[in-house]
Amino acid sequence: MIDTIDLELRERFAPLIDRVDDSDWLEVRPPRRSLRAPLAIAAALALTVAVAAPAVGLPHRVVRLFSDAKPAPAPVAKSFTDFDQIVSADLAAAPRQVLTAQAGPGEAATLWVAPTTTGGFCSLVKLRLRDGSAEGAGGECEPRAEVLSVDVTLHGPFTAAGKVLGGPVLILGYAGQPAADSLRLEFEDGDAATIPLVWVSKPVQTAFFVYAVPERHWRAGHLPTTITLRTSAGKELARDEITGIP
Amino acid sequence: MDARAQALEELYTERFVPFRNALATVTGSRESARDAVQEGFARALAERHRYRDEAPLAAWVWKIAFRVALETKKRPLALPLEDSADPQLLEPERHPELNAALRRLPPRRRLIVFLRYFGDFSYAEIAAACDVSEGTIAATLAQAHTELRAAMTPEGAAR
Repeated sequence: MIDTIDLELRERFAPLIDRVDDSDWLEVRPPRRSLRAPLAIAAALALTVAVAAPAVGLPHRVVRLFSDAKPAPAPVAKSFTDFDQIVSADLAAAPRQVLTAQAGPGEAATLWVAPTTTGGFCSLVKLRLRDGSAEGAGGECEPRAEVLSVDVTLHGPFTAAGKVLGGPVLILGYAGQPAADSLRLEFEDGDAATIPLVWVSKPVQTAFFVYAVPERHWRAGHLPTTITLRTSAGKELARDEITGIP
Repeated sequence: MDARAQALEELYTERFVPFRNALATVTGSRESARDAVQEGFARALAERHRYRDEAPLAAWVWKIAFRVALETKKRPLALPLEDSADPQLLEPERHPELNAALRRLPPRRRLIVFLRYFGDFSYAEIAAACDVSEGTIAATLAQAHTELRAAMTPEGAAR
């Protein structure tokens, strides 16, 4: 009986169905927030932060003048425009490249940032893999910077049980505290790593980081446990507990 | 690309249009519904590690996109979320009889009807999307069918 009525109503609704397909997966995929998972990571793979701006300020922090940063290439700028349309971020300026970090052998992550009219920012990270291909590694629009925001992005396969089988695995995010100098990452096996910050000047006024997790810290017993945002004097500003990857 | 991202892309490819059409009954236009679907899938992609396999993926993404759609309406949200929507046909004046019949249904029941006939959702998917049992959805749809059929007969329409 239900099947009969179901068919009847399906016929009734059929003429009302809009069949125009205006889908575009590429619009969804690139400018995306990354996995907001608990953190992880370690020391070994040193973060190479490439910045052209004067290195002033705190010991572990590099200051990047937004106005001097390299403008984003056209495809990246378009990603920001698309993102802007999706979330109505209202960008105040074109995106600029604020850091590049080594993500693995022959691999690099680049982060671009654009300020919004509300005092926040949009960011986008792209990963260039060793085979020459590129893919999005996260992005977000924030109306106002939080004290500490951390994401984990996984770019290789992992099992249903959560075991990471390949990389890169990145930890990235931002810190909105002007006094923030560095991040300290601690691991289950007692290792610790210091993650430097790149402070981007007005109108962004936020520190960013991208960190590649060394392979030896992808497995149980070696995973990160805690990330701590610190001042140059070692004072703790914020802390996040890490429950594992992914 | 990982397996979940792949599954999301496949779902997007297969179900974009039904998702958009069902959400258009909430947002009021095809354009705003498209934006909600795009943002919904984008959020789902970003949060894919939170997805648990026990619910259909379509239902999980729908919940995210539905919330996005409600946010665009800038109305206070109620719990359950389905009660925050007042879904309706996009061009009600073109289908006065059906529209009148649908308007007689409570909003939640109307949404379930739209999920079924615009969103192309299975009973299981609707059940997961609305956090109720499949039996409840079957009963709700049966009731809606009866009401719609009654309302669309000459006698019913005259009520």
